[in-house]
Amino acid sequence: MSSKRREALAAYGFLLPNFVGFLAFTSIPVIVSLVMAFTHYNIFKSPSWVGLENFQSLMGFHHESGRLVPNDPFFWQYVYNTIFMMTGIPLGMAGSLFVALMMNQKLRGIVIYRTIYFLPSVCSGVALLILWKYLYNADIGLINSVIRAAGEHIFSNIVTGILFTILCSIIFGLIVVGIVAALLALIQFLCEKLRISWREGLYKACVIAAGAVIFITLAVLGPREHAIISMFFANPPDWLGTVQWAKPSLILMGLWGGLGGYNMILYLAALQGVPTSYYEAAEIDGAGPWAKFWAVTWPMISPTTFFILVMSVIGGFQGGFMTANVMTQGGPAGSTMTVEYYLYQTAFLKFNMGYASAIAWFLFVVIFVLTLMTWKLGGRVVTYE
Amino acid sequence: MEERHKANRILGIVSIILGAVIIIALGIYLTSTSNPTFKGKTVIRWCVDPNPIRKEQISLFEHKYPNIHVINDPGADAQRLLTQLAGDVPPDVMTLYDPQTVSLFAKNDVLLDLSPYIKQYHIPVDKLYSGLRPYIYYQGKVVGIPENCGPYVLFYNKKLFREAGIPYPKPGWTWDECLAAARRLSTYKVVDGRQVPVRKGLFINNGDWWFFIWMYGGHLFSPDGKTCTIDSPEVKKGIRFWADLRLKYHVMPTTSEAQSMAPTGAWGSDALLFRASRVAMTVSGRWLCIQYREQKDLDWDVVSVPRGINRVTLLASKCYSIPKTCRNREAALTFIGSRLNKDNQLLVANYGDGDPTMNDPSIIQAFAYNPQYPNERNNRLHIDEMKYARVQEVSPYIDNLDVSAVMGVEFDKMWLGQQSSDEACDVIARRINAIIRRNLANPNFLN
Repeated sequence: MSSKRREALAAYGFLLPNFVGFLAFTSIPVIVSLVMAFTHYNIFKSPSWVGLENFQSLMGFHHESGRLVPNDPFFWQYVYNTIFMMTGIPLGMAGSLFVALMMNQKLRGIVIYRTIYFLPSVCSGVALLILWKYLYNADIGLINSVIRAAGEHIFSNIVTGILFTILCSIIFGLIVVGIVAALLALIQFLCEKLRISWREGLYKACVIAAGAVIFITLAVLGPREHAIISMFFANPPDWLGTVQWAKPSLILMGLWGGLGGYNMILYLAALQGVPTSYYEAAEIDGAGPWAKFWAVTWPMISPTTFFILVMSVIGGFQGGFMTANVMTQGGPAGSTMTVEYYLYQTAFLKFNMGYASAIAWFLFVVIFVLTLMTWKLGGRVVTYE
Repeated sequence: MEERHKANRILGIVSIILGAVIIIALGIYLTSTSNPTFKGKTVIRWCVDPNPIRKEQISLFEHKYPNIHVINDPGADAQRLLTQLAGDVPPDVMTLYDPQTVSLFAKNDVLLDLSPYIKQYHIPVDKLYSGLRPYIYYQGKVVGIPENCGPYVLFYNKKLFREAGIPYPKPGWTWDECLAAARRLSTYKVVDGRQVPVRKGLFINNGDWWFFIWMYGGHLFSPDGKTCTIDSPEVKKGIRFWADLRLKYHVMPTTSEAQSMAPTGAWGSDALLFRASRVAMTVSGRWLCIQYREQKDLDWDVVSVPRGINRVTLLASKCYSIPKTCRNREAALTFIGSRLNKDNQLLVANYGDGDPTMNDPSIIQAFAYNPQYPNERNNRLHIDEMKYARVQEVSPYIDNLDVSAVMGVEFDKMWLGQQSSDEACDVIARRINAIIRRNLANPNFLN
């Protein structure tokens, strides 16, 4: 036997255990689950072929008393919850990039800062969730205690109360204007792609007009804003106990854990991989920090951004189980139930394996299509060195 | 030369790994297909919760039956059992925790019919409390043997009652009397101008709606199980009372209040609140006394769950069953039969894990008072409550999990003030009936 062949044989030998594991525990179950999605299977009895019934029951609608109602009374609400929770992804990514930029500075003790920011990622998930449950508690939680204390100081004096209301209104207005500007940018981008002409200066005019409308509205509604804000500070919400606040609270908690986590490490690695010569060249051309970021840093780290986006979308659809299980049990009123938690319940509490497989394949198709779209669109804006 | 040596070493390592994999696979195969023996004894595997008392139960059994060795396989959740059954490595004796799971397993022909063995193995099923029938029978066949059970009772803090000058409640007391006591027992403190609860009079878990469904003679389902009747006037009246306890009279903590009152800080259960004297009364089964015994300074007693127009309480239990594919049927039958003997019944009951299931005067007498636990002078009440206890209602036409999901969501909306109790009942009935109609039209569900 030649040494090349022996080497190849040894390589296959090394690959074999992993391949056998992948075959036995991943690929075969995946194929079996695809078949099971078209069957009625409760483990006790052999599966019986039902065709598309599971998918029809899962995603379909029917008329009842003149109204169009979903066949599965829970599924679409949980899909909505899952997508809502994913709105934290762009915020988390922006936050991670911001933290990574800070951690990339040549400061004394930067390693300690990096360790501190990474700590949430190595802490026990359940312990953190319990901690957050405590923080979010309406009566004794730290968050509401701080809000109440701040409210007492601010609104005990009419002048500080009004000034604070104005400050809040400006921040709120800027956020709304930012969102409008981002949406307009997206429309402009799509128009360019579709070769629809977009007049010079229109974007700026739209943003200014929208900003003016938003701030005038805020000014007109001033007294009402003051009442709402002072009420909020006097009586902060029950974060996890109300339908309106439960999902945003979970998103906020996810941001805390995610900012300094693995995404920050990926961004940090990407930032450290940007050649300094590019920055030097930009400086020679007279670029300031902002211009350097958009012209050098942003394109150079775009493959990492793209990778994080794809993985976050996949993770977002598959997430929510632990949070729902530990913190809210899917409540209140099912507002934090995610598709993944529903899949678990269907498979392992109701033993409806066929239906659970259909849910899993629905998730797969959605994730696959979205990844494909991200790949297609993202591929155009990603810069590879 | 060196390369050849390297390749040989690599091949050697690969062979070792492959060899190890083969040996492990062979080991798994052999242990899963053969009948294990232990020093010549028949070995049976008992899938049950990892309660510390199991060890003593096994010792007691093995002392009496030295030819059988029992392995406690901890964890008996249905998914674990199903995985073992699907993999053809069934336990010899397994635990089923609710009547719907018993029906599900029996309907799918998994459980051994114990009826032919009742005489031979001296299993006195006729002496079990009649309220436990849903755990014992499926279509006339004996499929489960309940070892312990627990009709829900009301635990109350005697010290708090004394301090408030309220006489101790007596069995058969009413919900109105309970409410009056709870109002006097609820206390608040003012923190930064806010009224914060220090103690609430009563705690009932959000999912324990049964008392209020039955309170005025109502039912969740029609007798044939094809209609949800939670929108009936009787049930609505009961649910209205339940909602008022929290939303109108504020004698029950909200979920958030319960968390903030917990001594552990935002997490914990009703038992923790009761132990810390943060709630004066709580409704549960006798198993909670295992925890209360640890709290030496807690002066507590039990009384019947308050009554509405009729006296009724919830009954919880679990049963042991033998899979049809069990490989040690005789030993398993001997074991399951011995769950009902006096020594085992008292061992489990004295540990605090529920009450005896045998309606046997000698067991009842021995159980009635154990001087080791002075707070438990009133054990007789648990037995008396069996007369009024019933298991939760289920319909064969809807999965219990769907029922809980719909009720949980709609009652949450009621607690949040988004709908009234009457509206909640109407919506629940509409949603559950819609699922039942769909299931009835689906031959795959019915099969």
